[in-house]
This record gives sequence, C-alpha cells and structure tokens, in this order.
Amino acid sequence: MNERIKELVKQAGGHFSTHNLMSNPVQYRESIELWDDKIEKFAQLIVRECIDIADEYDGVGSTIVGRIQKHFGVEE
Amino acid sequence: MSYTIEFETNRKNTTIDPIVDKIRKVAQQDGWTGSDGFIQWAKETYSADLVGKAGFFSNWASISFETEADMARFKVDFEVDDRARQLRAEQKALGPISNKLIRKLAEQVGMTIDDGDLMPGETYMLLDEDIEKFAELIVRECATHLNFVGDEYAGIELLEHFGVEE
Repeated sequence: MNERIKELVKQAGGHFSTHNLMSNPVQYRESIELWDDKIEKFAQLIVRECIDIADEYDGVGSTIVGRIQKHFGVEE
Repeated sequence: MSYTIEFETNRKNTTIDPIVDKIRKVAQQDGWTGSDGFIQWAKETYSADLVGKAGFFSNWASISFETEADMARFKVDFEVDDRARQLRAEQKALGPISNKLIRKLAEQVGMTIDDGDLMPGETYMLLDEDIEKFAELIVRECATHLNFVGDEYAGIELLEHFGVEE
C-alpha cells in the first residue's frame, strides 16, 4: 500500500496487525482494517490533502477548493 | 385495519426503542408484571396488541392499535416524536457513514458487512487493498475537479502525490 495512504489510515484510526504465514512462519503479512466509524474520517483526510494541493494553485485554486469541498460535503 | 408503531431496533435486530422501557415502567406502575402482564396492559389501556419477536417476548417488535384515536392517545401519553423517529430510521439506513458520496465510494470497492459479534457501530469495514482502491477513487474524484477548471498539471500532480496511476 502507498505509504502516504497508509499514514492517513493510521491518522484515521485504522487497525494494523501482522500475521505469520502458515506456509512459512518466518514471513508475515500486514493486515489493515478500517471500521465504518473511521472510514468517513479517512476519506476526509484524503479530501483535505487534495484541497491543500489545489490551494497551491493561485487564481484557480480557490475555485477548485470550493468545488471539491462542495462535491464531498467537506467543510473548511 | 390496524395502526402500528414499529419499535426501533439496532442492526442486530434487537429492540432498543426507549418507548419499550416506558411501556414497562408505566405498566409496572399500573400493577402489571411480566410479558403476559404487559400484553394485557396494552389491551386494557389502549385496545392494542403488543407484539413480541418469535421466541423472545421480552424483545418487543411493535404495538398495533385498533383505531387511529387509540394510537394518537398512546403517542401523546408516551411523547412519541414521529419526526425524530423518521430521522433516526434514515440515519440507521445510512449507517455510521452519513456522507452519501463517501458511502457510495466505500460500497463501490466492496465495503464488507460483518455480522459477527462486534462493538456497537462497528458493522462495516474496509480491508487491505479495498482501502487503497477507496482512496484512489477519492483522489480521482478530486483530480477530475482539478482538470475541470483547466489545469491538467494540477490533476497529474495530485495523482502522483498519492501514487495513483493516470
């Protein structure tokens, strides 16, 4: 998983766990769960990051920011 | 024809309606006890049938009245707020994710419904690669807006920032 997205999952309160593989107990895989009460928070964090990037574009930035906020129903 | 008030339930279909507690309290104050007593109380006081779920008579499902006037009297006595009940029903249908677009995107990547023995409110979840797909959908939605205003480079930068392929 993309490290930036993983970081946002952490910030949103996602649950990370590791499982040793049955076939090779030395190896393990990471498992991530995001429960319903955290999914909306996670989505908001991504949208806000998109807004921050859009905001860097002078002139059109405020238009884009407004459109994204309205589209996702995310307040400033 | 009968007039029915369905009691509110949680996602596991257990009755959680505060009206039920009020009914028990009032019926007990009137001297009625036990499931049979509460059923009799409803009949004598409001000409109503208190209906339990199959096999669980302490888990009431609804109360049905013979006349609209009886139901209206019950609603006044028990301060039943139809509007608030409707709003709660709508919220329940939506689940804890109240933002419709975010919910739609989560469902689009196959948000799992888990009927296991979970904490209250923890019924839906996203797992591993679904989380990544879900994030990608959101980023793409945002990139569409960037492109819409004519700055394609901004859209590309956004996709690159999140590691999403064009």
